[in-house]
Amino acid sequence: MTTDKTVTPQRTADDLQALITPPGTPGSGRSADRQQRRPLRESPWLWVVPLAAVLLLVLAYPLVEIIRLSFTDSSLVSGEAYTYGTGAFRSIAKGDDFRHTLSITFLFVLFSTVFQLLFGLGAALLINAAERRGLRGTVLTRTVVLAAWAVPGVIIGVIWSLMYQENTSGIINYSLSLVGFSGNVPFLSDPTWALVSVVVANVWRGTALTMILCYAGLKTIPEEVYEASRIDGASSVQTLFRITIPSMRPILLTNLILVIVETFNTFDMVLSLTGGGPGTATEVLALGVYDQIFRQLDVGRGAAMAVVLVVINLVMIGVYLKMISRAEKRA
Amino acid sequence: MNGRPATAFSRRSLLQLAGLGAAALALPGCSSASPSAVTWQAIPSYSLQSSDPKRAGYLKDQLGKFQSGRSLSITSEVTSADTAAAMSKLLLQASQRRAPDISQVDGYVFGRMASYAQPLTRQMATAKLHLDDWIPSLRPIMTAGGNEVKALQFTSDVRVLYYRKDLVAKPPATWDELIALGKPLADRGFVTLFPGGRSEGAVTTALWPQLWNQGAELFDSAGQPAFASGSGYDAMRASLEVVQKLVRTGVSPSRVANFGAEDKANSDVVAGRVAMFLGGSWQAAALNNTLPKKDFFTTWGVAPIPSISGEKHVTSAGGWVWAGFTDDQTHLDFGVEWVIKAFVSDEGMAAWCTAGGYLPPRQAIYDRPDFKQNPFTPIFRDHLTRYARTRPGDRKYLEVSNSMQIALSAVASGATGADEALDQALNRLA
Amino acid sequence: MRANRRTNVYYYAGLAVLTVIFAFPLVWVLSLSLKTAAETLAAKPSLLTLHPQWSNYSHVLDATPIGRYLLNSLVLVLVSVVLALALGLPTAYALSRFVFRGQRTFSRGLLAAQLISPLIIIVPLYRLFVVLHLVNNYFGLILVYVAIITPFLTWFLKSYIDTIPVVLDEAGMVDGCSRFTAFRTIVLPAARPGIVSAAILGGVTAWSQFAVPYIFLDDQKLFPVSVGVVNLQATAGEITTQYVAAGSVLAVAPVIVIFVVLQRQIVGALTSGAVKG
Repeated sequence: MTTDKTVTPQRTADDLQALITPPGTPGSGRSADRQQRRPLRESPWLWVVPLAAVLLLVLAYPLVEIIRLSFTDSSLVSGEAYTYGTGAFRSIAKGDDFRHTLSITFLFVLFSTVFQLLFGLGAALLINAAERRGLRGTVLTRTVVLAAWAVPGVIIGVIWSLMYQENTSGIINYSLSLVGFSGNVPFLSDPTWALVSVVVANVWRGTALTMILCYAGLKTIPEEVYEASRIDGASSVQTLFRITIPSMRPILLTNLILVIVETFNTFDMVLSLTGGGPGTATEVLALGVYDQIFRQLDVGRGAAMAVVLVVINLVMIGVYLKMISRAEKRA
Repeated sequence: MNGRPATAFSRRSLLQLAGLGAAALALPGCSSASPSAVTWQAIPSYSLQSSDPKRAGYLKDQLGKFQSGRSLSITSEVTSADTAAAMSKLLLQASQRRAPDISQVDGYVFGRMASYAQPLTRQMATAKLHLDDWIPSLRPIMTAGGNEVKALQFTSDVRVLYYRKDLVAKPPATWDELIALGKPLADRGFVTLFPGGRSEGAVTTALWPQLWNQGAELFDSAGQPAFASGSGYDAMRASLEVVQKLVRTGVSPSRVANFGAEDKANSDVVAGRVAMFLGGSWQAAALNNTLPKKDFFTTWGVAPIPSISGEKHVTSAGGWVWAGFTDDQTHLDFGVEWVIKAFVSDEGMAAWCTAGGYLPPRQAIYDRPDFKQNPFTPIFRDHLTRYARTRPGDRKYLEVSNSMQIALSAVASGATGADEALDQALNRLA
Repeated sequence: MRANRRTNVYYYAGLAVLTVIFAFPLVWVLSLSLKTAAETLAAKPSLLTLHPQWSNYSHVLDATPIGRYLLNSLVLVLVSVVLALALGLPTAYALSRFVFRGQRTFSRGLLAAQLISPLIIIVPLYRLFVVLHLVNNYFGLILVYVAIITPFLTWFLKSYIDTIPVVLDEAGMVDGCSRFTAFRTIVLPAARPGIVSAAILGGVTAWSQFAVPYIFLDDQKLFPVSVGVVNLQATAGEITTQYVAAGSVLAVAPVIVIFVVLQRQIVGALTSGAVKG
């Protein structure tokens, strides 16, 4: 027990560290710092309390309230009477609808995350390599990708719905018709296509963040490492997989968890792109929450779905922390 | 790398930013409405922000005249263009006593907020308006089931079948006729459209009339869905099967599954790709303005929405009401006086319904010379009195509607059959 | 040498494809914004229009106070980010430099706070804020923004401060300055790149908020641009594609200009924010 006391904060710190560790940060240097530290007489709480107070008021209280509401059948109209019970959870568990929503959400998150990471990493590698070769135009590319990041989600939905129009007035369909396709691809009204379309738009939006984080990571790999690899006669593909990717592992992991959580919580873009349709083909969990609360005024059921969403996010983070600490034990 | 003294960053830039922040926080304080202003909230196309210069011009002119020389003033607020979301927000506001003083409410949702709305009997008497002036089927909305008028309906609309006269000689009375007629037309590139997406407008146009013309109801007397079993179930399934048939035969493209608003058909109509479409009465005027030759009224015709049997046509009526939510009687009087002047009075209703192509909900307006009827108005009025029904005010309505919107959209997209979609919808409602 | 040049061609091709993919939607919207209603419906759309309809822009500028929306967004983002830094920096410092009971719980709490979608808390928060008179004003809204962006920001800053050797602040404290002075004069300047990149990340998050301002603001004069632009979407009976496009261009252009003008600094801050100071 006594050892636990001293070890625990240390490991926590490293967990935290790992989650958003900037690549190349020497974690070991910090432990040395810590040991040299003199005992602290001042209280740390003074530094922490203002933020804690805001978060308790604005996040923790409403969260507790949402958990309470999930056990009611209350409506958005606060004057209407409500009763307590587990009806909301039972009703979302019943039928295929919620399972369907979960699987849609899972597909949406899976494909968004995979492609966002691939494209983001690819774009970062490309821009970085082009820069090292002294090619022109990298600044333009970098800026254009970043610009996509600055467009609010709702507007992205609007912009893509204009492009996805399902006749040749839509630019994507028109372009396809020029190269021999029908020009009537049902981008938003066919259930499968709609999900693909939503993922594409979401990847378009999210790639910038992944790119910039990866790009930042690449910049931290010292030139000498590449030099050494070149002298060893490694091909550029070998360098990529033996040097570049491994040294970016922490930033890729950070990216992964950031992207997953963000994608789970995405609803504004989907709302303005498909509204969850056709049917429930693009009804991701977060949009389901919005739908229940703001379209059906059913706060009880919306809260129950929100609780499920939070639990899923917590599980994701839990798995992630487990992965980190296991990796550390192995190291 | 950074030659400046270490403190420069923290002190100077943080101070600058903090100063900017303080100034910024002061901004909104100045702009909030003064106590002598009455807030008046409308949806964008009914507001000073309308993208139609005629409407915006009318309102600007009226508001200027109304306010001149008065001690109070009107502050114009506009909702989001997503009117379903706007109504949810209004409900949230009303139940926290934060709704704008005078608000535009979609008729079908007014029942949910009626308990927060002020009675308007006195103001109606002052303006010499009587509930009996309104078309009978609309009166229950205005009283929300009580004894007093709590909302003033100022526009109404019906859903109809529009058809192109050069392609369709005689409008179909049954769905089978429509499909037989529409199939060869669709093969030539002229489709039949209807709103089949996830929206209130879609179910109101494409589902409820079908259900009603089979004699079925949405709710039983206990306020529960009446289509969970028996004849109600069969009627709802038959309604969805019509949709399924339209899409499977290719008469309608499956992209209607993404048509939220009735107006989504407009662009195809203007592009000349449509033979027939189900839509709202307000679309006629808007389409006539948008068509290059402005010839909608001569090249298109209007007929009742087909029914399964070919008889007993039913359609849904909708419309918007004004409701007052402020406790302050002076503000309420002023705000109600404004909306009555611009939208409800004889002159106001005639002018507004003319500008927007809406159907006046008060009978007397149709006979006024200043109500400029469009060639279809007499037909719409006939539908409004003969076939129209309004949506029920049951507490579960929004849930039922949303659930059936999903079913409609799923069937239209071809993702599920009518049976499966209906069963899933019932599961959601159970 | 030749091989090298050939590889360069591949790189240029890659850059070109990337640029087109990311620029095209924005260029297309720009093109739509200059068309007539009929042209937006044309069966053979073209990127260029012979008669650019600048009047679409004047309509949007007349009908919606989009300049005001942009200013509102700017104010909301700036103030939220400054406040988030004011709250997040001391916390990040404490998490990095102190060892204290409850630290683990607090850190985990911060981590969990990052996961909470604003959507989830809107309804209870709205009811609470009505009681506290925080609805329809920027104090309340900024408080929510701060709560949304600070958890991530604090994490980010904490890991950055971790890379600044403790020896530095201790040396300062040995010289007789208080812990706060050491924090202000030594840690803050050293953490500057981290602070700037945290501010950018938080700023973009605040900028794209939609549901929270939509619900918490009644007065449209207070709307940020993300909420304001949505109002241009087609409303009863009008074909408004060109206006929606013009509105989107107006809403997005200023930020893109900022990104273009400051892109060197932004990319610089984000990259140096990720490496050891």
